[in-house]
Amino acid sequence: MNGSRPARFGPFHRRSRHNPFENEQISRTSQIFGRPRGNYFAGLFPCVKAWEGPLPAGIAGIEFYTDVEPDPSSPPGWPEWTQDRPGVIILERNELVAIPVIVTMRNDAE
Amino acid sequence: MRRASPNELKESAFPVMTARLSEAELGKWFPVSFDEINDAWAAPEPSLGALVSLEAGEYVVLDYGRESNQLIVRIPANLDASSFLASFFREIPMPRARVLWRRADAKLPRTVAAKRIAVPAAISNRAARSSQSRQPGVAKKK
Repeated sequence: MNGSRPARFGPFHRRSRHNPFENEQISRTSQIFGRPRGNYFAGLFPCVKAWEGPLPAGIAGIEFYTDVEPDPSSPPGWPEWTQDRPGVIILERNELVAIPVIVTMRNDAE
Repeated sequence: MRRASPNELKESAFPVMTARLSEAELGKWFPVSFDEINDAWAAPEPSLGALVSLEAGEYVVLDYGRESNQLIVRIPANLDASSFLASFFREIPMPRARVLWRRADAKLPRTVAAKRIAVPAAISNRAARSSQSRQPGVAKKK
């Protein structure tokens, strides 16, 4: 832990406008989940995806920190945590992964 | 370019570049069908994705976020990033200003979105005459 930071990496956020149950699911489990992007190419592995930075004001979602390092190959602004990276939990190989998170802010309504 | 079938690329692809463009520009510059990704655990925002094969034969994975209007361009690890970008921009008329980020080992080709400028007619005519006068067998007037 570094100073007042609740975990090594963050802040990151998820936006939940398109999945109203997401905030509750993350808060209850302290995990964020990730599936493959789709099936449009065979090299797709499940990974957790988020937005970099704090949750913007007025946006429904969750702000979080984690001790799991994002993939070094993530482009700026779009942290990802891919299956088989250290700390990424494999719930169902090639289908569903998760990372443990510490939620620091929750906004249920935009 | 063409939309490739999923089994044509079986290895992982890694981000090489991000760019900001509208959904209309995405459709114009990448005239292929995209998959819609609406599963919140599959993408951080409603997205469009496709595996595309460029004319030069390279495979490229495109992920477009419909909220952020950002395109993430991914390529297989064994592909040279700069060579790929040369093929990419030869085929896709995306202006350089749209590129938000590129990998440290990925150089943009010099010719990306060279700005078209209008050459005044007088200069254009002079250049044409000069070019003619350099041709073998064309005598210079004194």
